Amino acid sequence: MNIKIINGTLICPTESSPKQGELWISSGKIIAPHHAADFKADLVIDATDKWIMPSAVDLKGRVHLPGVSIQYDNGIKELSAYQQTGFSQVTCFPNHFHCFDGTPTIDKLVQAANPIKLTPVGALTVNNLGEQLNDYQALHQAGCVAFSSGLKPITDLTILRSAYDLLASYGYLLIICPQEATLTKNGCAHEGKIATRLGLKSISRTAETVSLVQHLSLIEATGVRAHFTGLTSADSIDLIRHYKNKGLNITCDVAIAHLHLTEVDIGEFNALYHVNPPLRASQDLLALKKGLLEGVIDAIVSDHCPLNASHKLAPFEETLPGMSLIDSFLKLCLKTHQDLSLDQNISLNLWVAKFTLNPLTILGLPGGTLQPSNQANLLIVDPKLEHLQDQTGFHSQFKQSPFHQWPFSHEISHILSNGQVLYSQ
Amino acid sequence: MFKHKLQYYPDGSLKHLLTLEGLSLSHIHTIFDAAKKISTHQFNPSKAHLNSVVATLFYEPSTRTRTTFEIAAQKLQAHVVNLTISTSSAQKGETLRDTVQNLAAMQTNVIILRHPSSGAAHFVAEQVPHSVSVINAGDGCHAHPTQALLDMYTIQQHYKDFKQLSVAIVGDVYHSRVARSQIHALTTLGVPDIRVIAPKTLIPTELSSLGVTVYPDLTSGLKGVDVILLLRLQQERMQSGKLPIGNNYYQHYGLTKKTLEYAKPTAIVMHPGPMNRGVEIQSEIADSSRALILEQVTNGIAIRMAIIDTLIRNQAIMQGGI
Repeated sequence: MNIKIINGTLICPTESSPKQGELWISSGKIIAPHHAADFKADLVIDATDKWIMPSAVDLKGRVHLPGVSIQYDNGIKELSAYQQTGFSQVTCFPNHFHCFDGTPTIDKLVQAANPIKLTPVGALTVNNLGEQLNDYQALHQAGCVAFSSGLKPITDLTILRSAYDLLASYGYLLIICPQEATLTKNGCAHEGKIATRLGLKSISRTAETVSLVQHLSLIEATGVRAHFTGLTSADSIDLIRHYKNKGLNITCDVAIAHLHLTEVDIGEFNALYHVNPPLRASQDLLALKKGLLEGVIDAIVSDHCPLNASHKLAPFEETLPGMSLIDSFLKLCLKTHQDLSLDQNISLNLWVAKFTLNPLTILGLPGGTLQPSNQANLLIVDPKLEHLQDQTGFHSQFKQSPFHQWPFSHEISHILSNGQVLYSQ
Repeated sequence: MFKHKLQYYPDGSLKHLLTLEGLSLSHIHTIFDAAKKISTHQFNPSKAHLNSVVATLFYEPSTRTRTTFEIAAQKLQAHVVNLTISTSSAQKGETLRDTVQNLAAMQTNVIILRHPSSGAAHFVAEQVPHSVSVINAGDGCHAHPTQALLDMYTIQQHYKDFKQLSVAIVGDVYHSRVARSQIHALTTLGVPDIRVIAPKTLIPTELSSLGVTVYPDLTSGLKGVDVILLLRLQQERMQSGKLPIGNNYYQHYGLTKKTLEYAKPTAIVMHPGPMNRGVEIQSEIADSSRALILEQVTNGIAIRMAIIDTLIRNQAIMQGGI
């Protein structure tokens, strides 16, 4: 099928600025107009006053309920929701219940995820127990794009050091969720004014920075390529900046909720704001935005967490942490840019790269641009469609979101997946 | 100061008592006035109590608080139901939400809740229908509003003007719901000098944002104070790495005849109980006329009667009964 998108504003992450133009698609791929003299469009999409950009890529997502084994049907439904909310690819981490070590459900899920791509991150150790090293080469061949221990840190540093040495020698990516477990015990809110006022068990910034420093030392010693996911504090950004300047081969990301919410939003114990790592103070939020603008932070992730209403129906401390975020992700990313642009000139192309091209580059995968020969995984976005988001319209099966009834001005009008129109407004 | 909207009716009258944070001076004075009438036998309880049901729902052990609430409700001639959690459905896996909704279905008017999780009283207040009021009898490390109110009421019986007072809170503030409620009450009552005295490990981060001055040293913290509010030190804190083992705490933070000399000669000593003699307080001080510990217990009945009465009266007004 040949598709021509006309009159739109092209936002390609590898270009310096948006430009008016056309996009030609043939056989699922973007093609260069001047190389297709005999191109005849089966479908013409008029994108007047709209943006054309690559589909979103989520470096840290989830497709299943926490605390239960992954369920095939629910997993497929949630992957479908990812697709309907503008993602072409989602990366999932190992945890207690699935380790991406070749279990039939995961294999089936990865295969069935097509056309959205589920990119598994393999467990560093067998069953993610922190004891025996996994066969990284075998897991890589099976489709794992990187390796991690997820939110379950490996306490034996000899094991960790060996894992990093091996990953470095194979050239594989290491992904780290930096949290020192002994400093986060039972915590549910940022160690600051709000936790003190409400008497909530807290998690300090130090829980993140202590872990970061330990990992950065091992990364420096082993030379492994590493990505830190879900950074939350100003101190962490300073550390990453310092080590990047030293020449370490590291990247990092921030979860979208941490760019819009702070500890204050917990209000009267609103469990929708219970996330892990916790929402921090306003100075942290500002530092995260600054880190993104300076390029210290490379990517924005959803940290989507599928939870049922029952998971939030308890006293704050007893609820499960997490938010449903895929339905709000793109809108929030673009809203952040819109808000920041009120004060300064920020390249929209570079901003869009944070959730399209950059996650793929970090994973060593192709795509994420509007350049010819790329797969046509695209979004057409109306940047001036003022609306209130309503959770009843969420594509995700899970509605536990604090962004219900938030005002947004960006809305997806078309989703193209591998050159096929999946959705049009 | 943050106002917890959940605890008020739209007209600003009290629907629940969840926290003292944001509770106005006039609300506090109304409760004190009622308590005073109760103490002086000038109180006419509302007829609404005759058919009302008050349930105590305690997920943690309690002696004073539960007993004084029971006595208070009985004196108001309400029907009192005590749910013992160790033998209730919670042991069979029933959720807190289901338990309180069942209590509401039994036409309970007031649920008095004690729970180990901060925010539990707020959660219950959100889950019950309009006809039910919730009194927080202690939730995690968050709040214990009735304890702090009875403490303030006791102080008021000894000092005329809160605006002239220096008050020191001594002990494990980190884990203390009593201390947090005391700080809010003292602030609202206009106490200009609120001090908190404890080792750094027992002081929560950014506590000064609540309007207190933190003293790591007992003697300098006690200098010239009018009121000393001691907190209970839970022995398990020593096992969780918050304090050194042995008698170190008593040596540095225990209130003794010697350390009490740093306070004003007229200074009063209070403790919410249960007291650990030889840990927080020297036995001699606990038994002296300076200690108002039993007075606090007695006042607890009047204050709790006043609160239950206020909430049930407000329910009746909202339902058009008065």
